[in-house]
Amino acid sequence: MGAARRPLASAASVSVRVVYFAPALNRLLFAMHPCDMAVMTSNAMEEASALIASVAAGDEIAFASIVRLYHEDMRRVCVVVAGDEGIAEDAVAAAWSIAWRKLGGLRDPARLRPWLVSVAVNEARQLIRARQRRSLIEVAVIHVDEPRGGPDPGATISAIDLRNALARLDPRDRALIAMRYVAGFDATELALATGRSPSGTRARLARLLHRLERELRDE
Amino acid sequence: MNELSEFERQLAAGIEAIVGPRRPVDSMALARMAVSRAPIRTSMRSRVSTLIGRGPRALGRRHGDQNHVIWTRRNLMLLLAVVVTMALIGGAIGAGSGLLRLPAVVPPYLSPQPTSSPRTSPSASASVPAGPLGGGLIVAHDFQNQHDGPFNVFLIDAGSGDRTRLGTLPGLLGRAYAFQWSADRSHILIPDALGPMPALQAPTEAARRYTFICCKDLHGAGRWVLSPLGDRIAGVREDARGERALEIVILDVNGNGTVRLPLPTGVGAVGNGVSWAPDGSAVVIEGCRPCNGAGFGQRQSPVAHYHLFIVPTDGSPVRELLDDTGGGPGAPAWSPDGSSIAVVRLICDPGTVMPFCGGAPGVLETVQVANGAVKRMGNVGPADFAPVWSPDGRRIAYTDDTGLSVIGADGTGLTRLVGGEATHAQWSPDGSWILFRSGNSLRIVPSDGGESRLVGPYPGGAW
Repeated sequence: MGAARRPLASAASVSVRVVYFAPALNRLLFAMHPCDMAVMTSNAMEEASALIASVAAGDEIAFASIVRLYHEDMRRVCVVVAGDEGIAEDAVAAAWSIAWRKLGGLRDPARLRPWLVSVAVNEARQLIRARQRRSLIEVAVIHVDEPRGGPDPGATISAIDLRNALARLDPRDRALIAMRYVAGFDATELALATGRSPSGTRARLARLLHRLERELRDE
Repeated sequence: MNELSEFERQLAAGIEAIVGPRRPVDSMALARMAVSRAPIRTSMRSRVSTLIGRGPRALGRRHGDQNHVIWTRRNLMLLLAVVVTMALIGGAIGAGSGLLRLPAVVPPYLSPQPTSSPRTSPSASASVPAGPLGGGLIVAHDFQNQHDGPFNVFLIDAGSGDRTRLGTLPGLLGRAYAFQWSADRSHILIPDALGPMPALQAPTEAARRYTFICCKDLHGAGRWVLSPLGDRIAGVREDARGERALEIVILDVNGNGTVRLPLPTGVGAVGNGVSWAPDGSAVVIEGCRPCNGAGFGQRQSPVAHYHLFIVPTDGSPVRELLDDTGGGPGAPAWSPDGSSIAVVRLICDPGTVMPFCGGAPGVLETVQVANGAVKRMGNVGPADFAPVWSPDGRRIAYTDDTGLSVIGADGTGLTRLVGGEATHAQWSPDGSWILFRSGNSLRIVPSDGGESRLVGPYPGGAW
């Protein structure tokens, strides 16, 4: 993969590079899901590792491919964590900046998505914290500019109640919920992203679900 | 973790509705921005410039131009602010001294009536042996899962659980009011958590014993803090973008005038507001100068330096304590004996700066007012709030993401009082208990250690 170090000047080489890397990343993405874990062949692993290596060597095109694949996962999780679109976008932008510098240190490509999301979540928590220091007390981080129309057909939980319940959680717990139900992380990925054991993460998630269910059913 | 339960499906759909759909990603632009914001790696500039087809100098100019646009707009804002301020001052002078009084601060119907209801006045109750637990009543409000209120405001005896309703306050879109008591417990400040604030509404007879000070966006300043004597309130006036703290505004609660204390130019507006010196002779505020606005609209700026600014209320020159290039000295708290200021400082990973400060648990420190000497008390976890001094000044309580702890002012005797969620610690007037918030409830715990007790489902309160 020595080609990654080649300076990129023309649009032609840009498109070539994207086409070249997309399959490897798609395989990597799907390999993240537990049922597909066995599909992660040593070949795909190598390609993913090489991709990370080319980012580490300064290849912005490879980096942009990674951004394209994971940006929305990171942003959407951060929206739940921060309760604010603007903070979420700032957090993800900061996370990409960190990723650009530190991606090279990532040895195991299977950790890519959990790592990226956890970096973004950390940034979001930092930003919330910076805001918290600016205002004395906030019960809810999430703004309620709720349309008062009928509930979403797929959800029988009131959106306002859900926002309140989420806002009452610790940001890390909101992150756990969001990684599970927004980004679709499995137990292994949750464990990688939170730094806990898979069983500990499951237990934490179960407790959170129980708490949310109790609060939302009561309201 | 295989099949989603019915509740999980509803939860996922509910969160999905909050988050909204996936959006198209301009990955090249995002990647470029990330690369340009990261500290320069080897020959990074030339790589980026090659990528976007400009020379390195052109790249620099482009960013420079952006800054220039922001700067011009800020100039306009400043100009506008100056014009408006001038107009206000002119109007005030023109209308005579009447406008400089504070009719809006203390609603006439709530002015204290010392002659009425002689029984168990709370200010007198401190001397009565069988007074409320902790030496004073707690003022708190309920929440009832309502964002837009009304919240009921109560006076609560934490010992007996007896409560007296004082009136109502409108909702705060899910936020809670942070009340403040004056030292003689005759004034209650309802600070502006969200900008303009209304007064206590539908006051009951019991409310007549207290003066409620509310701060309806007075003089463009906010984050009001009541002085220890309860005679003045100090707020911070920021520029229109909320980036720079321009001055400290001090208002006499009885309407006897306004003092404006300008801050040095370029002080960044951070923190919760001021902390008063115990004798009311000065206030301390944290701020950055120069600041790093990265993440809030300004991408290229120097490393932020955080300081504590001591602003004497008699207009003497402002003093600068501390020079911190980490995450800043947190909300400062002036000790009751006036000799030191407690802060929680955030420590950034090497090579990172706020607001992109990696890792960063905090340290609790005291700063000597006389000479700026810093004494480190210990490490503090994330999610910090301002440390709080005990009334006798011998101990400091603080909360972090692991719970509520108390440490001696000399740095010894660290005690974990409460594990788990605990925020907004406040000492009881007699120092024997600590009030804290857990979830949307208030709880109390003996300051020497023991079981915590539930006060009630009140998200905001003050002891």
